[in-house]
Amino acid sequence: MMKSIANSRWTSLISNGTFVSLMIFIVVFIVYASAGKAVFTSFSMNNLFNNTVALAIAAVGLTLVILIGGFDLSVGGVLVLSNVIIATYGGEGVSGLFFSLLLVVLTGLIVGAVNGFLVSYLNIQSIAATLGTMIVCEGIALVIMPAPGGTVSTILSRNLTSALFGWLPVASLIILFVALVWLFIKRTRFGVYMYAIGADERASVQAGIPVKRVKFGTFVLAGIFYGLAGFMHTAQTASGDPTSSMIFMLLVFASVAIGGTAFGGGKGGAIGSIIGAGILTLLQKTLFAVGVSSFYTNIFEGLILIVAVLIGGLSVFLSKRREETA
Amino acid sequence: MRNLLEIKGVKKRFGATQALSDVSFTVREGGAHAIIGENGAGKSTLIKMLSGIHLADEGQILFDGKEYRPRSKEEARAAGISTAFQELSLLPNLTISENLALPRLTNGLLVSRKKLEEHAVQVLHTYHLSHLSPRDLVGKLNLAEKQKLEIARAFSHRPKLILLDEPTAALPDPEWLFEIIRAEMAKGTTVLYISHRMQEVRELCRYGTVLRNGRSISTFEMDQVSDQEIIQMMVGDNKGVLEDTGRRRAFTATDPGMEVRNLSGGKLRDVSFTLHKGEILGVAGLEGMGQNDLFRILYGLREAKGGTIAIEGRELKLRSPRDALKAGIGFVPEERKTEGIFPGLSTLNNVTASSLKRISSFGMITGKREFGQSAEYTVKVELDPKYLGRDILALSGGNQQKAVMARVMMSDAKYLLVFDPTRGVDVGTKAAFFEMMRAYADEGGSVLWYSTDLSELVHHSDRCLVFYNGRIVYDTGSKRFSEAELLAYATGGQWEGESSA
Repeated sequence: MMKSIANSRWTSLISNGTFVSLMIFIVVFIVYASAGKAVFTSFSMNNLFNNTVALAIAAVGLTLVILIGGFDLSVGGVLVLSNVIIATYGGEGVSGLFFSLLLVVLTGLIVGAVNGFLVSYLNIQSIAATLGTMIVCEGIALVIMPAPGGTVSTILSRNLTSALFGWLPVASLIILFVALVWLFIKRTRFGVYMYAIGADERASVQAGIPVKRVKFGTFVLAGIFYGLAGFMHTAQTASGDPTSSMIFMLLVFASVAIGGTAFGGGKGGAIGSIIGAGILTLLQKTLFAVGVSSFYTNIFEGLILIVAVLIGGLSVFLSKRREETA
Repeated sequence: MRNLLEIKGVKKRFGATQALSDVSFTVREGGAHAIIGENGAGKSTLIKMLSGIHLADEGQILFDGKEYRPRSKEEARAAGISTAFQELSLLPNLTISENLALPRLTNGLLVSRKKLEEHAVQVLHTYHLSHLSPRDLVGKLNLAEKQKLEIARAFSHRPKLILLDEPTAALPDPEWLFEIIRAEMAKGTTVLYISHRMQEVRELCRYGTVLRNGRSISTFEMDQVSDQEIIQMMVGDNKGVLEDTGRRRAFTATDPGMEVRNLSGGKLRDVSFTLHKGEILGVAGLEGMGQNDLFRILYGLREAKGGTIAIEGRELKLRSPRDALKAGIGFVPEERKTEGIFPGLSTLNNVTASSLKRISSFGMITGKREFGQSAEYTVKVELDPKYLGRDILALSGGNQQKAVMARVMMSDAKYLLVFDPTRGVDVGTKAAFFEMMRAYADEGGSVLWYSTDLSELVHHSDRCLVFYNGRIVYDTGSKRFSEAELLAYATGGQWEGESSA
């Protein structure tokens, strides 16, 4: 009896994607630290958070859509579009910073609303609808800025990438803020509805949930997160670049998968996705630190993803076996 | 007692199907009222209409003296009607407490786990489900517990009228339900109770209404009519008499085809029978009595928990449909759209999908052989060869079914499992299908088939098995039998009519 309780606690832990991704993060971090580099210096920490923040915010947005059983490819398109819009129209100084923020939120909101309308009210499959909006966004970005260039507010590029008091990275505070926003969303009625719809749309309708409205709102919210990701991305690069963002998009999807959110919907959460983004960044640094050629990075990223998903799948397998023997 | 619910001349059509053609009856306040009818009599449509999921095309419904025409489940609930559905409306990835609070969840901005759990503890206690923890995910519950939760949720909205759709289908201990129903009735709640099971209906309900083919046949006080009379009403006036089908062949133990012994698994409990060579063996049973599991086990889609299956004396291990096909067992499944056909492929590809080896040389499919050999089978099932080149989705439901049959026959199956082949199929196609089945049996093939339409079973089987609660409760043997007789056993009763001819 005791044993079966202990067993079920283990299975419930490894079925918890956040826990699995946290374990993987710790393992990778130990490897990174033992590679002998100065890990805990403020420079190194700041660098780690700065490289993670855009990916993490975008992954939180995508998690929402995946949770309702949807798919959203427009994440890369919104990122590029926000980037060139800031670099072109953002302006200088504090006012430039806030104007830029307003622009990216609007960009994400509009693209998200188009996605949500196509998916919820015109019943277009989300993968097709968002593939379309992704391509359109990248096209608009090229029209706005045909070649890399432009400038951004120095407050944006300097202050948002620095460390407060010399040790606390601003990017870490932003990640914390995004995590809190997620935890808030999760506890609202809207949040519970998202999980319900992802698990069973028919039963959700029967239970009286306004399914169409919730789906629409999810895409809008996700779009805003992508816009904010573009904002932080721009803070890093300090310029505009209209070239395709395929690689970034794939990393966003990988972050969500590593974080334990099921692509079928209804299971997972954004904290795991944030950790997933951290793992991918940390992995790149680790491989660099131990002297592995950057050509190998993709191989390791892919393997980590498969391992993370496998561990999550293991719990399903284990609980099935327990049911059968019970 | 005053009238709580009055239904007058209600009609509902879905596409070509007239689900309700004329339903009128009255439910009095207080007490329980049963809706009785065969599969497809219109019970579910009626329930969904009263729950706000479908709107009536014609007719009028009065509830509590007011015109009642709900457009959503919320409207129905606000008026005072709530429903425990047979296909449960619970969300597996939410907790018990969240499910009990849907869709309202909170009056404020944030959902308070504590408040939801307090509410859940109270509801669970009221309905004798205190052993369940409000924090558990509904997905972890077994089917019976889910069913109880669905019922408790419906009651917890404090309706004036509660609709229970086959509430005991998944309950091993109906006493739990009866206790709750009695307690709620004592408080003045009215119950509309949909069930196939005569015993339960008699125990609970004071009044009953029989539906048949979308019509209300009669409303009566339960203690004024006998089971036999109710069954007559369910099947129609003349169907109690024995009809000769022209096909009642007796089979002997010398030609055992498939022998099933002590088979268990899913809902099946210790089922034994023999399917002889050349025999058409019918399976009768109300929904969810184990027939589904029987067919899935025999086709290797579900693992058996115990028992043996042998063909011509050789015991089989069926781990997958591939094993079944190798043993000569073919399956025509019920949901053609989801299980039977490959949408998007041509009809030809659909027919040959199980026999690709036969039509290929050195691993390559040769178009000439594919066409030539499948034409032979399409003739057998009377499918016009002109359809072979078309996308199977362009075919009518009946023709899709013929294509599936042709595929199964082409795979050289000696034993055919056919699950509810005539649902949603037009009369002409039905007739062609039965002819095909008979021709197949005359050539030495064996057919095990299930149909929700009992009269079809009577007319087109050599013999019939009746399932109830996972067991075979009746085997007609080679004598003549009637629809009423099958229905009596299928509803858990006995038949004392003139049957042993």
